[in-house]
Amino acid sequence: MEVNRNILLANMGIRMNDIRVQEPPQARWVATFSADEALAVIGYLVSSAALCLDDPVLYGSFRLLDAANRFLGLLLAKDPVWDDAFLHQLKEQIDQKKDWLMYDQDSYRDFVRGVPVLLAGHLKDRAKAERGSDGTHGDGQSRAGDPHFPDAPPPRHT
Amino acid sequence: MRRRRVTREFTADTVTEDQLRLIVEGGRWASSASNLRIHRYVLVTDQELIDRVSMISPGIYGRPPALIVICTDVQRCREVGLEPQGDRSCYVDVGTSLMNMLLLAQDLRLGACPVTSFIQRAAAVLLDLPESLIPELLVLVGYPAPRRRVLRAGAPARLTVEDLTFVATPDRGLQPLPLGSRSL
Repeated sequence: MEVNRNILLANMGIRMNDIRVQEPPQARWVATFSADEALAVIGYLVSSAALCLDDPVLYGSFRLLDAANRFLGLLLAKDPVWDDAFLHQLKEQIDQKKDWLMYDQDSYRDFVRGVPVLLAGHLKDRAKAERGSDGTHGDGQSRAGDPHFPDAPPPRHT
Repeated sequence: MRRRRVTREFTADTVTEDQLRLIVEGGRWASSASNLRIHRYVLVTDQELIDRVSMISPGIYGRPPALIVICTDVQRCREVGLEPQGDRSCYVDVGTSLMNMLLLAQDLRLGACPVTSFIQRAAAVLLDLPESLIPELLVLVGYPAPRRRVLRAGAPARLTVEDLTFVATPDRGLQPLPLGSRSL
């Protein structure tokens, strides 16, 4: 499965080494946004909604990708989110490749298709790490017996 | 001309009013259809105001330290009997003015970027523009932030003048432009 994902991403102009995160995925974090920061995202989205009525079709995709990138930029200015290596590398990839829309639309399409695959891999790794080797879900609560976590080992007794 | 590139990301360094004045003066020297001069420029250097305009301008990526807003003066249009919505020269003049400004900015070692992806009426509200001024184009101005463009191998090659140009002939229709012996 891992091999298939790497081949898929390679076809999309993304090497796993571009984004492979060596550190374990971050524990759950919470970020707080100011009203200005929230309004910047809201303003971008509603303005894009209006512009997309007349923009070239591919711009709809671009605006969504750019919105995600702007949100990443806000997140990465926060403590402790700034330390999330995956988000840093994801933003770096989007920063580098979003402009392909203007220079190489086939590669842009491939890249955009690859981004959710990257995210899916990260979500999977993160879930595994959160589940933890002790059978807890990062919050100390065992998921043993939980039908949503069939692989959870039984809780350790202390 | 060959060095000039669109700059989308800027450093935090400020741009002086003198620099903006020079850039706008470049715009003033551009050709103007029938010399009607129907456009006006609005300079914005207050960062909070720029940030607010950025919120309704998806075409602004970075945080530019200055904006030049090219506006159509509809009052002037009425005076000279021009209907800007139906007159192509209105937008051609925005373009000629813009290009002079981009080249002037380049000459001043500044970066600049034209932005059409913004909500005109929202920008007019934020900038307190009178009803007679319609914002047509934002020109972002500032010092370029270092940026590395990475293109995928096999990306389409840059278009050449031959790709873009034909020669009209009296009897053979449009013909390809022959390769020249000189180029920029």
